[in-house]
Amino acid sequence: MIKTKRNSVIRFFAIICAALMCFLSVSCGGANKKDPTKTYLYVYNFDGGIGTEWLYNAASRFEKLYAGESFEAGKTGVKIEIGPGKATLDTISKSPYNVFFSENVFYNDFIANGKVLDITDIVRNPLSDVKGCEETGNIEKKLFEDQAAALTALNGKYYFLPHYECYPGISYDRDLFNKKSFFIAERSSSDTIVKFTDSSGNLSVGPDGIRNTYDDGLPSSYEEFYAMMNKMVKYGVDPFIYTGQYSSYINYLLTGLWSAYSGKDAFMLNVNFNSGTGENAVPAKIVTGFNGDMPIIEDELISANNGYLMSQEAGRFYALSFLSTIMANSRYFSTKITDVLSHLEAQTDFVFSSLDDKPIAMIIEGSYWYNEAKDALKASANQFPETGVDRDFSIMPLPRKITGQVKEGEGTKNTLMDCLASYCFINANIKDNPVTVRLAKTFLQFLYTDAELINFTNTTAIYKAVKYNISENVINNMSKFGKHLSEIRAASDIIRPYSSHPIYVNAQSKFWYVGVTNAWNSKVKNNDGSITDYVSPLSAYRDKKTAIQYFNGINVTQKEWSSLYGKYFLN
Amino acid sequence: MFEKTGRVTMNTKKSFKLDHKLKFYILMLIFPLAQLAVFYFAVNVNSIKLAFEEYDMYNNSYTFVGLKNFSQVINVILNESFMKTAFVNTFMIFGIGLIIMIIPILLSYFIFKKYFLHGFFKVCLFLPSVISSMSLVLCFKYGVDVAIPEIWKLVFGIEVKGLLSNNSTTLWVLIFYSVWFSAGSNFLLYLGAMSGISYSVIEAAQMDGVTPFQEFTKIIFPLIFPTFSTFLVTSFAGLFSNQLNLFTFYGERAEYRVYTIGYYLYKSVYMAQTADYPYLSALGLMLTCVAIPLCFITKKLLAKIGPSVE
Repeated sequence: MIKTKRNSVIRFFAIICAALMCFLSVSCGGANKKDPTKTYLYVYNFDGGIGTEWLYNAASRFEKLYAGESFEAGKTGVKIEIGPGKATLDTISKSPYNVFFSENVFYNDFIANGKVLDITDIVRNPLSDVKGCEETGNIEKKLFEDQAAALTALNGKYYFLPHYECYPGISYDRDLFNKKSFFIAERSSSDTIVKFTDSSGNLSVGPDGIRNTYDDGLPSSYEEFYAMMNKMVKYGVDPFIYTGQYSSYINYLLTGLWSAYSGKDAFMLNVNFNSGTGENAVPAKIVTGFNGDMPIIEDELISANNGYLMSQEAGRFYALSFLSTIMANSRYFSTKITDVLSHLEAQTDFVFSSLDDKPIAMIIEGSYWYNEAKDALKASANQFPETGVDRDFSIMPLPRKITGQVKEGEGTKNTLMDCLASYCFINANIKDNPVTVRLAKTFLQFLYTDAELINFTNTTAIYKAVKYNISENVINNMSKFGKHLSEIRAASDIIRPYSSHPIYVNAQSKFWYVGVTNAWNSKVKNNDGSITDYVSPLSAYRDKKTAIQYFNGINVTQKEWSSLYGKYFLN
Repeated sequence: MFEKTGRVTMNTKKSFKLDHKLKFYILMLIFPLAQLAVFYFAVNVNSIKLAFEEYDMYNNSYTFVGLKNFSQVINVILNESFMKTAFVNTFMIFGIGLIIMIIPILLSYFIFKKYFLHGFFKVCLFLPSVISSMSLVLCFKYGVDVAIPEIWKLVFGIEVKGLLSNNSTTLWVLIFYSVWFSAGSNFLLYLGAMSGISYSVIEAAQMDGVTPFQEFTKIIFPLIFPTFSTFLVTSFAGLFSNQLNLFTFYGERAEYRVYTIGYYLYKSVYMAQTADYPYLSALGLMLTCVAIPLCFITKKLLAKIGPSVE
């Protein structure tokens, strides 16, 4: 009797569970129900700092534009299904997605393995092929010369299009700088002490040496930067915050400083290994030794034969030296930094810091952070309706000089580096499906019309890594961060660290200087002669290693270089 | 005729039966054999072939290069200091693993005997197995890197670094996590093996006045020795694939001082371009050549020196 009752209870629960499963299945099916009258395109988007809002908006505009168009018999109109995620791209051949937007893409490997579709036709066909578009040019004309050469280096065809630009470095709270007078005042030639003022004072000309530009009052040398941090500490402001969880973010600062010091042409020698000859030759500044703490720097012309010298570029040393100096003083960093502080938490802390009266002046981040911190910015505006709206944040042009102050007319052009290898491409697994191929190509072409490029920047405060102009009107309607970024970008040289040199083509991931790769790995020689390997200088500095030790450990020898890449230049 | 016909019928029936059995046998085996052929033999043959080749990106082709990749591997092992660290860490973690292999057995016995707080230990050991590893790592990181320094400051008034942030404690914290994390599955299997022991054997021993220590050493351990032996052999097999959960903790950015060979291999494959695969195949092959004899020697030794159930 008891057994029968227990069986009944079990049966009852089994029926409930089965019903629940059916219900869930129906719910899932309902949500993904396809419209049989439309042609579908599946688009994957790396949902990082840039987010996916821009793609949802663009997809919606595309669907409207092609609502009356038939891509296959019996169907009219299109539907773009978007999959945001952070998946790796190893298995794209089996992926259901047709179009991809992602970052850290080493494109040559994908091309060589036939994983991506040839899109040369849409890159070279006129953009007027896109419905309603009146542009006469094509996408190829929007590519920068070195970019186009690098993308077609393997076999002359296009498979990838550059997606967005991300500049590594520092962003700062301009409101806080103004309120606390952290801007640097102009010094007279006899003045040796760094003086400060607010934005209405007699600002220094900044690193570019030009008055009334975006960098007035910003530190033009490392010396001024250190003085500025000391003043911040004195006024109870934490100079820096960064994510401790991802140690690679510190590379943003290092690479930002390095590229700023080297400048575009010299930095490009890291990937094109060609200084050229004659009057236009571009030498690299190479550290050949140290006189005490001072590096001995010599100009060297670089070719594939001596490409290993680039491991000892002066810009790298100064960046490491800068990090070593600031790390020596724990008061330069927010106490919130731990090895578990995520990048999103760091952004939120930075946004809220001055509103909570625990101000943090700068964040080490990529230039996408402002878009990534949208929720934190909204929350701060809601919580502090008076002070939390229309905040004035900006990326900071970094100093290119070690000591002193740049005088008017003596500055150098700012350099930004596009650091995230972000691209879009079409999956080759649809090559036998002409309907999807046509739709995917049309969608890509649509996204590279001027109107869509501008829409992208409007939504994200980030630029696509191609040539296009944004009108003053549009810029004026952007956030302050977006306005500053537009101004700085327009006044800067931008490094796009890709090349058509065979060494680079074959070993693309080895020449990647930000993020996940081994750009800042070092074999540090200890005082007892033993070697300790480090992935990040942060860890080495915690072990009391010096910047010189770390820099020397980055050195690549001629033997190592020849053994790795000799086949590309030794006959 | 009848006889003849009868024999024929009988033969036909027999062969029909055999055919039927054979068909069933083939059907049962075809899927696992196909799987073995594709996902084991084909993959490994391809991997072994790769170890002797070099990739040419311009032509998307491979060329035979003899032992070049192996010489590169030897060069890296001999000259790169991080490889020495990785080998030292790998063997140290393996040694620690061997020493503390007894802990899950003792804990399993403790729970098997339903001693005081056995339920609590059961939860503590099972917890890592039922929570997602990412969540567990995150909680663990907060615990050792944020909570412990805070507690230390509160109790002793001294500021200390988080145990993961502190270079001198990182490796030990990771080893602790790894041991704790893997203890759950070991413990489950040992407990299963102990539960399979006939109660009459234990009861008879108890009637003879056996002490708990004697019960463990003379009855329980010999009876679960096949399980222990399997664990030991598989731990030799996994010697070079133990990545100490480093990828879950640090992604591809773990510092060299905590590297294991398993992590180096995993990370290298994860980040590899096609041109890197031949080198990695050669490395994998060389490590296999070390691990296989170790497994066989261990298996033979255990068969010889293991306690007798009799």
